[in-house]
Amino acid sequence: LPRYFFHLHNDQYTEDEEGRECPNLECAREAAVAEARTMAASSVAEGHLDLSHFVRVTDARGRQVLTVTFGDAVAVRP
Amino acid sequence: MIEKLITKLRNFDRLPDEEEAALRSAVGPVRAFSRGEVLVHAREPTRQCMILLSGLVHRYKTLADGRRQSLELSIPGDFVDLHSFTMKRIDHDIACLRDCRVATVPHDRLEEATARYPHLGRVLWLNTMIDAAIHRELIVSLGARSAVQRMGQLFCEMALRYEAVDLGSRAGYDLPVTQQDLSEILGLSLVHVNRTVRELRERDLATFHAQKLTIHDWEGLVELADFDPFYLFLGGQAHSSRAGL
Repeated sequence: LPRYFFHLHNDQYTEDEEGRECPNLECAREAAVAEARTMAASSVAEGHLDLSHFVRVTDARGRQVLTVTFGDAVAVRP
Repeated sequence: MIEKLITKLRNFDRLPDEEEAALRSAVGPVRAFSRGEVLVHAREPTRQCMILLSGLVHRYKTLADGRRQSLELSIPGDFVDLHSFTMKRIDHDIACLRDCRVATVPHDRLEEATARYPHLGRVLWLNTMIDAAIHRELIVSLGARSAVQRMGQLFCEMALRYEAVDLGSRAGYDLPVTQQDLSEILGLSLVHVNRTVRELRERDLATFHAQKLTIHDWEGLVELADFDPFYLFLGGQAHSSRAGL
């Protein structure tokens, strides 16, 4: 299975050095959305949220294959 | 062969030579398992218990959607499924996180040894009760501790458990787990695990890299995690409370 790496860009950059196997890009996208939601929720629990923060996914060659912002991952109503 | 188990049990209570000999003679063949292999399947009949000699094992439950929650890590010297002696069919799976060697202990031999030496039976009973205490501590972590406290608590617990069998210290130890394993132990997403590893490093408390944990500030890590090692019973509380078990 191809391996994808999920890097977090919020207040700081956290690189994923280990990655995880996903059957395809769509699966990697679903995982990235779930991660963005989890990290957004963690941020909300601490009393703040920046919808421009994002999860960036790269493939085994280090090429960026997709990004998901916290705003993309969560339906927000004012 | 089972020195680490003997060392561990002697932390709990005195273990007379004849009980040690009875336990040693109950040991059957050694078996090897590869990383990922299941040692014990939930609900299946068991006829033996296993003592981990090398490697790393975890107990876990699997949800309908395939996600897993780890319940406890077992390290060399641990009886990975002593509870199968009484339960016969256990309620969770046990699998290898690394290549492992285990010593098998047939239930009938364990029955003979504990029938002849009831005190040995009580020491083994205490051993399973401490597993339950470790599970309780994990419930507290999963329900009430922050991500960084959960990870700190795990790193502190494993330091003392590895120290008790001479495989590590409060300065660090090999912890052969992936971020996926940590995710299943701590109930955190993979990115959250990475972020939390980073936070412990930035606070200059501990560095987890290449499956090695280095603890820079033990006292600081204990304070952050609100870690109280009483539940591990490594100080011989049961023994010191009266004349032993």
